Amino acid sequence: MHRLTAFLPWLLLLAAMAAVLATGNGYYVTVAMLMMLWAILALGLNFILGYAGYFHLGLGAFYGLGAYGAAAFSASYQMPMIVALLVMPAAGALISVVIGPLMLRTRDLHFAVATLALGMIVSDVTNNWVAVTGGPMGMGGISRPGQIGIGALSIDGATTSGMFIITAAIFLALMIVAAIARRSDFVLILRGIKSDDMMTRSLGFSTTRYKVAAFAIAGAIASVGGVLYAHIVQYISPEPFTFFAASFQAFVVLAVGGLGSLWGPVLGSVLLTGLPEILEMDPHVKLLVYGAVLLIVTIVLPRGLASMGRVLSARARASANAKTKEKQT
Amino acid sequence: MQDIVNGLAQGTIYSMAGVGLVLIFSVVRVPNFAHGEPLMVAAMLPLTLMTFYGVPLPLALLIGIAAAIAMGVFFSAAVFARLSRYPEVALLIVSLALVVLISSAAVMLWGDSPRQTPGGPDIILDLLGARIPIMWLVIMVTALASTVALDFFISHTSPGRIMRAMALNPFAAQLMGIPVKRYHALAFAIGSGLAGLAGALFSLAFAVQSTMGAALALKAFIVIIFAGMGSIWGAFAGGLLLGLVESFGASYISSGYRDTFGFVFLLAVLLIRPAGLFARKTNA
Repeated sequence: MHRLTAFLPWLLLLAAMAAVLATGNGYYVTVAMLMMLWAILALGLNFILGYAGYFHLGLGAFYGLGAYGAAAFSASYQMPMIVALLVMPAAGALISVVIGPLMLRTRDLHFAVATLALGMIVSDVTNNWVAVTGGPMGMGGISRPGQIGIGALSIDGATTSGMFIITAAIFLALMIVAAIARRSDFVLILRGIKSDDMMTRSLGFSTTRYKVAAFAIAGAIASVGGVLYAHIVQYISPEPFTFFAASFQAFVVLAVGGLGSLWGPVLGSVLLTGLPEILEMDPHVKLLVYGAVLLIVTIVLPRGLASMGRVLSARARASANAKTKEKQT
Repeated sequence: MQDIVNGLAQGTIYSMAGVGLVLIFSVVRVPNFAHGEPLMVAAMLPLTLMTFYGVPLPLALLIGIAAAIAMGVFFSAAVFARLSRYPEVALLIVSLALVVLISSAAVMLWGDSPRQTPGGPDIILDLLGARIPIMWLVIMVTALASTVALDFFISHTSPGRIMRAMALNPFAAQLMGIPVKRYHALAFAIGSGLAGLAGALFSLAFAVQSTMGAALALKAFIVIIFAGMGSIWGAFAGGLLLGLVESFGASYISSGYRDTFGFVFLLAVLLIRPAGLFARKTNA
């Protein structure tokens, strides 16, 4: 029984994906793709922020790295998408491993501001290093993959639905990895670091190494997200990788969804990516509503949407208990 | 010489914002990323008051600062004091959500083009070949004076002592019968008031923008990290240092990367002294 309920969300997810694809509506498919993209970023962030408890506010740096790398591979060197998809996460992880030990000497607010600064530096570079990044004008001409596979199983990556299948496949693979990782000793040690770094170290674990690994996983997965973004939109500019557009958004998707939960990133992303699409308003009003929703969700559900079931059932139980007590008296 | 003066002038606004944030952060432990918003409001409001309601300049500046203080009290009483039991990550998001709310409202109200409040004294002094508008000197002297005043307030008056007690241990402070919520609001009021003062004066000498709050709050955080948290004079010096680094970087290396120099410098500081440049054992 328990096993069955554990599979239910997965079936729901697959059904939702199939339903979106079946509509064939370019708009729905694109929105669903963006939802998966943010879920991917949040799911990577979960390792360092959710499990290890480090306030990573610079994910946009790695997201941008992936996107600009993908643009360079595709537009400047005419390499297929798979090259960027393999190289950029490795680059993201490598950079994380190099700067990680430095960044992770700090924690709490210091770490938050240090990572924030990292994101800002990358934003500055994307705006100013015109020769490589195209500056504020950005880069275009990113070509999607063509035919993949053979016969009935082939997909055309150049179409929106083809791109959807590629994104969905990567997203599902990462979700499965995340689900497996949640039960691993690795994540257990990260949780140990979150609750008491010193204690975990005294048990013989080199906590810095684990923290750097978590930081690198977040960086690598964000790079994957960046590569996908570049191929979905086929044009990149500095704007989508700025603090409020990227790092903050990923942070919020995860925190609103539920830190350290498996389905939190998905729930947070569906709400926060879907909401601005439903609201057809003036961009500034939209931002206002977005801020207000954020405020309300954080105050009502500080542990995120993934805890909603638990909160509701706890309330129900409490009121049921109150009723039985009333009957007894 | 001109670079030094430019850096110091720019740095004093970071100093004042940083000093205000140090007070808030050490007394109530809220990662208040919305700290730049009162500064922005105090910088933007006076011009609107002057052009639409004919308010004279000094009064307009005072109203701007009063608005900043009111925002600080609102942050405390309506938002952060109620959320004191929430996890830090929730507070962080709430403060960033406030940034989104306030700055998008400000953009709707004022647009996002840079502007300056006219009417300040425009005498320009000449010192060793550097041009120094007299307004810059006013800003620097005010920053210095307000930091001295705050230092005196914290270390020699009874409310200051109470705030230090709260910084040390809020729970014990409450047990001693301190009305914690009132001092929570007071810390926010003073901190935001200082930010407002900085904003109002700054708008007389430099261009200000309705979207500048977030960047300034970030710089205030960088400043208090330089300072090693909880040291008022550390924050003051840190602000000047950040201004100098940006000014020299911009004129000797590349002006497009102005902000990057500050951030790179921050990362370098964290590498060498993770506890901050001027870290000492003090609280508030």
